[in-house]
Amino acid sequence: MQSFRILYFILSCTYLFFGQNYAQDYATKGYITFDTKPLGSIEKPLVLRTFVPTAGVSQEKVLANHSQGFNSPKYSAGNGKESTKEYQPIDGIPAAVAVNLGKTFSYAWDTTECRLLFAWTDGFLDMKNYWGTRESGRRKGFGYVPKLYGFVFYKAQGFHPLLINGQSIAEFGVPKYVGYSLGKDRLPTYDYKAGKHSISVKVNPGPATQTLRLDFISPSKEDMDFKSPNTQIQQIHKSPGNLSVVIRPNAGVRLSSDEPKVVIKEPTLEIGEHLYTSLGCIACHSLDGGKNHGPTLKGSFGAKREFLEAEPLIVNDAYLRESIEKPMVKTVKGYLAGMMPPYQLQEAEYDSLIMFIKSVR
Amino acid sequence: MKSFSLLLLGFYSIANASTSSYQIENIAFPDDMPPEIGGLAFDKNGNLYACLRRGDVLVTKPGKDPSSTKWNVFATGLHNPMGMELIKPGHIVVTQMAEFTEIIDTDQDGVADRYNNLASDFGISGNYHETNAICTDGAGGFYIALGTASHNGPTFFTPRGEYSKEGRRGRNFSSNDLRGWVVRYHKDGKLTPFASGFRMHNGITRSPDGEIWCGDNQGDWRGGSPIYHVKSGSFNGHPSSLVWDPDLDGFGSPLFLPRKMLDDLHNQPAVQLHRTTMNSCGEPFIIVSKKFGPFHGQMLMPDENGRRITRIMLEKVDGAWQGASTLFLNTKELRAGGVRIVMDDSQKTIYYASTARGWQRPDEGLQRITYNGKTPFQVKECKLTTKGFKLWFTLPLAEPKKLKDQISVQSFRYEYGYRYGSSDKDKKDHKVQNLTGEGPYEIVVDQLEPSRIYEIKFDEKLHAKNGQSMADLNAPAKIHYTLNRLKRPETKHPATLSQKDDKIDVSIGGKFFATYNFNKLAQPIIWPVQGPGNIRMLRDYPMKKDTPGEANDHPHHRAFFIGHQGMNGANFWHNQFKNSGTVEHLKVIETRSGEDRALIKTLNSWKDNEGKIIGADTRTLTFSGDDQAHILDLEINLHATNQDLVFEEFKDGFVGIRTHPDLRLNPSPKHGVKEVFGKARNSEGTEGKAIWGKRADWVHYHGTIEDKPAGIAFMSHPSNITRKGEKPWWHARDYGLISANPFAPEKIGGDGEYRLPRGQSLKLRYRFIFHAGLAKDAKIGQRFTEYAKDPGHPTSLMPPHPGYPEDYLSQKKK
Repeated sequence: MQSFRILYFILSCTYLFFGQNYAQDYATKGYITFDTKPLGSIEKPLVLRTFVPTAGVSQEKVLANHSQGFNSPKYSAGNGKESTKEYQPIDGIPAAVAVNLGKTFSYAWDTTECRLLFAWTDGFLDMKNYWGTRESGRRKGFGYVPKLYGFVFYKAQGFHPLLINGQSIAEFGVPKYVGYSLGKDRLPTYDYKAGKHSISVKVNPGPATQTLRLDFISPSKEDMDFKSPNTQIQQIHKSPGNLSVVIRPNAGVRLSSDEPKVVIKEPTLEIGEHLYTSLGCIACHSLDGGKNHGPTLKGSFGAKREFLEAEPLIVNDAYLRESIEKPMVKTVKGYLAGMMPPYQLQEAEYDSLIMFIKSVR
Repeated sequence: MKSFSLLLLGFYSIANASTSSYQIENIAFPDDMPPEIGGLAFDKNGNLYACLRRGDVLVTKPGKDPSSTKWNVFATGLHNPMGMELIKPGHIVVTQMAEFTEIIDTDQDGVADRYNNLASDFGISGNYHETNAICTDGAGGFYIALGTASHNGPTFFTPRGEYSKEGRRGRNFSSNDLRGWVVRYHKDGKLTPFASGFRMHNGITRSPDGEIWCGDNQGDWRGGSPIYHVKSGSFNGHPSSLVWDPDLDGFGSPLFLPRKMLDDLHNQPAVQLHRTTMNSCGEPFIIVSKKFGPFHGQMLMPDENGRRITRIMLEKVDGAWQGASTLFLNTKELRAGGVRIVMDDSQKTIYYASTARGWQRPDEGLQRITYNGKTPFQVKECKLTTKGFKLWFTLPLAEPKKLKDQISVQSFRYEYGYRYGSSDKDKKDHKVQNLTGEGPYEIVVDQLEPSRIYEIKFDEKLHAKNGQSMADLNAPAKIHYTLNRLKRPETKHPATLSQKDDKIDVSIGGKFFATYNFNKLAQPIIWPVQGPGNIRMLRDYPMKKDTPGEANDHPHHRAFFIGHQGMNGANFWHNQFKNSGTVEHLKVIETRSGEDRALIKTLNSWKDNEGKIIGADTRTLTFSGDDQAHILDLEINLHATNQDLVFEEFKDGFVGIRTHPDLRLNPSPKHGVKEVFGKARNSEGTEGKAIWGKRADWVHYHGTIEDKPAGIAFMSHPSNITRKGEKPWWHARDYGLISANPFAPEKIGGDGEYRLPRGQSLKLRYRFIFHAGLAKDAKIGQRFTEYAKDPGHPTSLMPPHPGYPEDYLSQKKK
């Protein structure tokens, strides 16, 4: 609990920094209000069936059991005729469950694919385009899918990641969603069927920020594995019928439902420090020399680095920029490749972050 | 889990509606809670469950004072739930956007902890409009109403369930699996399609007698706000959902089917609510209580766009429900957006839920309406008679003798088609010719026509004995009667049907008449056919090969058959040729039985020898009769569904019968027919063999069959097409083939080729009189005069076919 409190503090600062205001109506009142940015809490998670954005997960692999929507001719009910103009489909997932534990953790689990789609921090869903304002109740015509805001740190990759007795359940046909139970912690445990196998899965916040833990149960005690491309997975428990994995961040996109975006013109150390926590660098890169999933930032600037497959170099601005923007290009010796997600930031944000890293001596 | 008890203080007012018979009260909610109610249900302990469209399910025990309503949150997180039924306290089922969900409080702490997916085997496109509603099926299962999508919103790139490009076309559309249908969720968990053709059936109800009812929203293919009696297998008018009907597979986009084909498939709404009383239907509510005013057994329909509730008085006429509607409440005290009504234990109070978010200015909430025991002055009941209407009032009239002058009657029709809603078309003023009775009162109207809506208006001077006027109810004093079917005359010879698999037997007055055979054949046929006195009228061969005295020529002459030698290259007359096509029975659309006539309406597909669809037909076979004659009417509508339908000029066509061999004009020793007893005459006086190739209104074969005097008259209705308006051409042979052929070659005096443009329909009508007795007693000429006046089955008023996009868009480019 202690770690969460600290996190709360840090995140509160974050929100103050961005000038955002969260009412957390649901967490405090226990019912959905007119507030179009509903938020739960650790004590009172918000489970919401709603349309959600795809957040760019692969239509072909992750959304393999969805059908495909197409353009369609515009039509006039006045004369019964079609025109050459067309309606276009929009991005969205029709049958997901979105869950929010407050500022620390949100995820979307899909009942069609029976899998976790993506997870994020620093926000949840902005329902305004869907629910409308209290006064008008008007949805946004062709853009009513609730907007995801916050920092997406995990996106599902590839076909269904679960293997039963060594075989991917994607090979068992369309999975069948059965339902969910709310436990004492009010988090849902989803039940589904893949072929003849019943499976339960619970999605939990992970041991560190921007990580998550999946607990799978097979009532018939099957052997389970979790495999997903471009995703760092740590198996923390495995026994017949049980599997728990911790998933590290494999994405790094900050999304905002506010328009326009706040533009940062001048890089500052303060912004850099804020980004270090809010983007989740803190989860893997220590400031005190401690070893973690990534190298410590302490004294890194100017230090010699050796890589798995690249020539050694002395850490400079260009290298830092590259390792934030395209971390997969070089992996420091002694660390696992592909652990760190790429971060798309504004120019001044990159500069601020580099400024901060340089300052960690 | 801890339950969240919320003591809420809200606005409160007692609003006396303009009627002094019903009190309206507002139930309080917390000010920051959006009370957008999609479903309401009472449990046996008197707890009221309300599901809100943003996801919460609330529970309260309503008290005397609605301002201190204490709500508990029972469940959370549902996606736009618009249907809810209670299983038992702490156990509900809900239809949310993506799913039919069971919600249970397993540990009985007041808060649900288990959410089961009961059914999700239906499509969801991502369009905002696809809400779902439910009612029980009376057998442990449920009916689910799956709304369509609207063109005011998109679909997703990644919908769930099969996607159809054809279903995506149009205003309200059915791009994904089973949208626009009512499906049945069986007790064992199976989901089966039940009825198609809905636009937005926001609500579904099972009446105490087990009938399923849906309203629908005025819009495309909805002239007024219709209320449907939902029957298994029925198509309820909105075409888009037909893409999911396997019987309609292969006819192209349902949106562009020939108008008459859609009209014939359409299960006409039992009641059409007038725009002055209803904008869009919420969920029907049946008043089972006798304590809620004098309207026991009737239906209430809230208006999801208006501050009014309409009352519906139903009756069964000619085997189907239809009836009258009038305003029940019409007051500003009601919230707009009425969607759901439930009744509490007192049986005096209904709870009226409203939500309008998304389609008009939000006016959400919950109100209760209580009857105070003072009878309102209203039309209590309205029933159709053979000549007019019978009216009951709730209270004795002040001046019953003046009633005739205080009633005026008009009628109009609604359009059925792609346009959004319809004005009152083809208006007629009617004369109230007579008024009899002292309550009920029976009015005689100068003209009653099916497929019209009759508006009966009451003068403001009409008062009850106690001084009340209908205007006291703040409602226009009028009722609308949707006349789909006329009341059938009394009969001593009821025509009845009994279906066994792929056969329907017809009897007149309990005596066998005919069998309609519609499967496993090259085309549906009628065989055998008997006249009064069990006289066999048609040849048995080739269906039965051992009947003595029958020739085995022309095996394609199968008793009563329909076909033509050349249609788009396919032969539907001869079954044995290389290019022989088939007429495939697809479905029985409707049957009526037990009145003075029975009726079978079917849909058939015309396919060439490779199985390619040439076109379709909808045919209505009407059977009636008495001790003198058995009468069969054929009304066939041929539909050019897939291309122009070309009836090539051939002598062999179109509707034929092959008589009993005794009615032949000439024997055929070669074929074993040694002696014959038939004579022939047509309407023009031509006799014998010479009637072949002649034009006439009818032909009549008569003589003796198996020693009994009998005959068959075959009439072509004057409305049938012929070249230059001449009488129809007959292919009537001396060996007992009689056929009417509007497409015979010109060189033998026929009408020549006929091309029916794609999207259009051709109607042909024929009557067959199978009589006993002598020809002179059969009065065929007089019977034809009667037939000529018969209007046939009604056709809806329909805007013309809009044409096919591939045609008009390519013309534009040029």
